[in-house]
Amino acid sequence: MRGLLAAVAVLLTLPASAAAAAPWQDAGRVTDGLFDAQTELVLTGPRAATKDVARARAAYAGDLRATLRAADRDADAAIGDGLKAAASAARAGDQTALAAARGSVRAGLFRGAYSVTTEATARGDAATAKRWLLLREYRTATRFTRPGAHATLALDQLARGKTTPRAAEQAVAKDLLDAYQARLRELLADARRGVEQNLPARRAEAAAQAAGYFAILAPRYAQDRGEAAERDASAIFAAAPLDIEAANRALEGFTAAPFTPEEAARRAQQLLQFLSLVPVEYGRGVKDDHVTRDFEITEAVAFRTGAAGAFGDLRDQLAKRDHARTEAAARGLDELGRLVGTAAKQSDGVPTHAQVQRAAERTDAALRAAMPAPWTEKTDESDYDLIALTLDRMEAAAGAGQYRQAEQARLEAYAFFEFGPERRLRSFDQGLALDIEGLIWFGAAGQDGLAKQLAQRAPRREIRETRLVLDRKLSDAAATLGDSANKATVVTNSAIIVFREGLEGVLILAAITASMVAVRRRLRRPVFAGALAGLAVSVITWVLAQTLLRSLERYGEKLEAVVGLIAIGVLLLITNWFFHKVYWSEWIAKFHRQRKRYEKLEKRGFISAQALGLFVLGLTSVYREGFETVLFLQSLQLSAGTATVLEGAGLGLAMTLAVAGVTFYFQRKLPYKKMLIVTGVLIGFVLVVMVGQTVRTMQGTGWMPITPLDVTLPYWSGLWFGVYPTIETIGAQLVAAAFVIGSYFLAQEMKVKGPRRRRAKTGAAPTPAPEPERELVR
Amino acid sequence: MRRTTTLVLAGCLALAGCGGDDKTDETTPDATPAAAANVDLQPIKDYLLDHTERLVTSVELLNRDALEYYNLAKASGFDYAKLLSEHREEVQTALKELRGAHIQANPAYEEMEGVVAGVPSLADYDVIIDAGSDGSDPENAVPFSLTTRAGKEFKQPGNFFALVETAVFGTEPKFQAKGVKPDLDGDGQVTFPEALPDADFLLAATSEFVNYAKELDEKAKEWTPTLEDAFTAVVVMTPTMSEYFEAWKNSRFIAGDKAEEKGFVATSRLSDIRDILGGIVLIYDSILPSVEEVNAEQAAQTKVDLDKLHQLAGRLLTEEEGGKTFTASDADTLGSEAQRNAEAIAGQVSQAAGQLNLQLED
Repeated sequence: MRGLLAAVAVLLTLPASAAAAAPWQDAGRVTDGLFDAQTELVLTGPRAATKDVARARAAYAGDLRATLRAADRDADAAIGDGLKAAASAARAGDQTALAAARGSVRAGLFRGAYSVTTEATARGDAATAKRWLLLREYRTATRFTRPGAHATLALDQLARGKTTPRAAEQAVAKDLLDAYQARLRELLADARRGVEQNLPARRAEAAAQAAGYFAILAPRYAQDRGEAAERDASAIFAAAPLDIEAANRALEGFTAAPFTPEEAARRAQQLLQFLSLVPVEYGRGVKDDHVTRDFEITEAVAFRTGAAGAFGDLRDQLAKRDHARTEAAARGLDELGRLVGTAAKQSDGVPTHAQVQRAAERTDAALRAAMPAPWTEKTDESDYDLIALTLDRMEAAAGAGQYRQAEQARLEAYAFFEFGPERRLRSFDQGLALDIEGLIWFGAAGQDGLAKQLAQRAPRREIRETRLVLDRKLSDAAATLGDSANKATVVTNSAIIVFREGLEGVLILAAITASMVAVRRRLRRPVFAGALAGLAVSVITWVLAQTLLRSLERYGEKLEAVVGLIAIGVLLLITNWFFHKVYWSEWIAKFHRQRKRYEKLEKRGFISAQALGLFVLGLTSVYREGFETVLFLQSLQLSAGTATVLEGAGLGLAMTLAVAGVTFYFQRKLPYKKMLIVTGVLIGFVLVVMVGQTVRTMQGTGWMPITPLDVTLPYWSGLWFGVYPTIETIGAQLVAAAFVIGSYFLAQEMKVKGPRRRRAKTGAAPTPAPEPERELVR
Repeated sequence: MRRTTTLVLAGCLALAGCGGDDKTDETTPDATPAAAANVDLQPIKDYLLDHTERLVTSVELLNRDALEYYNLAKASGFDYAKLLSEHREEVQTALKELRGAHIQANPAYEEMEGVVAGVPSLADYDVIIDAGSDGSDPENAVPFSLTTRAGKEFKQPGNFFALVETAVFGTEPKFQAKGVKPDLDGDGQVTFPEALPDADFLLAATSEFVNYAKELDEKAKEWTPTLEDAFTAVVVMTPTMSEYFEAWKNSRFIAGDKAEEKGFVATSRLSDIRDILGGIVLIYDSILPSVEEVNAEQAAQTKVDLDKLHQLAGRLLTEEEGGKTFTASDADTLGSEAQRNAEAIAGQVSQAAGQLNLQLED
């Protein structure tokens, strides 16, 4: 009785034991046995090889076989046939036949595992799916792709109940189909290599495995191209020997794991962006038909290659929409490749910029006509690809000791960031935007910036360290901006942007008009008229930005620099005027009772001479902020629409006007002398900050050099005070400060000390006692 | 009134100073945070430092031998024909010492290459010492140039091991002494590995080699291994086995005098592969606890596959050292299977990295 019970217990535990062995382990014993057989044919001979094959056949049993057969009978049949063929080949010592059998068996195991995994996922059985997912292929890591973990993570989420079985199945199928298609392409290349290098075993194994992988993709192929096409393609793959060219042609334009609509739109944006940059880079590298800068030609080639890659991914979908235009685009890309490729190989007699431009434009037109509308709408994601590509070129140039070219690439990468994702990013995460900017320029997050490193000709490995930190920050930025913001966020952020920029304008206007009280009150008029004009021009810029001037973004920084220079010029004049005509003249007027004469002088000629200058100052002070605000709001508008953004902008403007009203009211109540001092300090402060920021902008446009200082400054020093760690910015600020202080003392010398010394010499009357301050204020 | 106004203004200014910060977590991958608490990465650093010190020692020896050869050549006025005819035995000894020093230095690096090439902050040294090409391939070229004592410049000449090996084994003509056949044994024929390197060039190359080896040693001491470094090392290096097997197939050990590879003539590439894999296995053992936490079965699979690959390389080397000659077809079959294993391992480790929310570097 006890023995019977023991036997029953053993029988009951047996299935559990069999089920406990992982599928990958069992499958590994099959493939290991076959590979050992192949190795033995090389090292010893058929006898050992035959034993190994027998071991492999024995391993294909039990739960592994039963589960595979239940999920995919064809896969099971392929494995069985392959194992039989392996046994024959081992006995005959036929390496080529054994290699082919190995390829078939491996593909069959993966094919069966694919069916089990996807079916288990579809019914919500995450545990089974996870076990069988370990029996799979992965994409080979390359420069632009890494083996992703989408299927693994999807099953984790399914197990935790955070996703539905259908969504998980789609993710798993997509990951696996993508991997098998990538490997299929590699196997066809392997088979070709086997032919070219006279490696029959290589050819046989690769061809057999390729046929097995195509069987995994076949249902998707049929779905995409029809049953008849699938039968034809399957016949090509099943033929022995495999017609490699025919197989490649059958796969042309087919994508087993199609992009989601968002992925397709992103890839389309990459395609259009890369294409548009080909003539830009090429134009910088040639003059007529001579190559003047190799680096730019290399950039043009890189962007053309990137465009071709993106086109390859989308070609099938495009062809379904508009076959003729897709073919035209393909021809256009080929032609572009020939044109830029010629310049990459020789220096003279190369295609002109105009030729390349025309080819790019024709291709662009064909693509846009073939694409659905959502594909042509700009997104941030392609900007990150451009930034990465350009930073790669920067690293390569630095590695080759070509620091000038590296700096050019760095500036380009920054331009892609600044006129791409930065504007939105600053709306949602200012700190992150500043970190990225700092890493591209002078340092942030405890790391030196790339501009500083390139200026100091730092070795590539140091630049690489900074790049790694920068890549992480850019990745965080992409994640931050990945979702469209909800309405409340966009309204809030629009309001904050307008208020923040508006406050800066208010400060400047307050500084300038603070002294315009009493008789000079009318001087306020041209200033405020200019400010209103600046507001109006900002609104016009917004309207134009929606229609004619989308490309203005590329010139945005240059325009910013120009406007900044005008504002500085006028502010320098006003500063000088302030100290000569206001500060010290008022000081004098208090003691000399010459105020009336002075007022007459001002009424007569001085005001008309300055009215234009004050108008321009008011306009540039406001428009400088307005232009930047327009660019910020435009980027928000992309994600939330005009109405939402205008709502926020209106709120921000209301707050700005409220603060302006409070400021100007408050200003009038200051004691006059104190007010003069405050005004003088404020004008000087505004001038110094404006100078720092404008020089920094000019460095970004390449109009001024960058000579970094070896100091680390907090991010707010640049943001609020225009203080950046370069000789040019700080030097210019010191010059501006010297001008302000010098102007003060010069005016003092001219208006007070000089005349006093002259009076002392001639024995003139001393200065009368000062009048009470309140009489000067009306 | 004034106080109220001031407060309002201050409030508005405070609001203006705040940027919107409306991050959402929707795009954050739903992955397990890195389980670094129970991972001891010190063994990786110890392993690396042991090898960087060995490299410095062996490269200094190489440099010393190069200096002795240089002095010999200098004594003959750099007339290599005269050098060979009047000091044949000394030249033979000098070249033998140089070849021996190179053979000793090579594994000191190869065994740690997996870590050096896979860790982003050290990866450039792999380009400089072992993997970088010459200036004809700008993307992968070494960043340095050499200037010899005689003032001759060699711009981005290639990685140091390639420079030394091709010079002392005579497989790169441009690093050989001009105008004289390197018939070291005087039998009227030039057979491998007879070579008469340009002493001026060789001294410059080995002197710079010492500098960079010391630099790597310093950087290694400063390095603090992270989980990302360790995962990246495994993912990056493991699939490069195919390149090594490709080189093995083309090297002298397989193709004999038809070899296309100028390098790798001294030691079989199988030796490098085995050594590198040893390093990878060590690294994986360190990160194994963190992989087990997120996917125990995956961890077991990777451990098995990695050990299998290591054993395969070891077995092939044993066979080769035992006198077995592999044909190109054999090498291709065996190499391709090893590559397949390696890619699978890289894929598996990438899954674990994804589940641990680790960013793998290029």
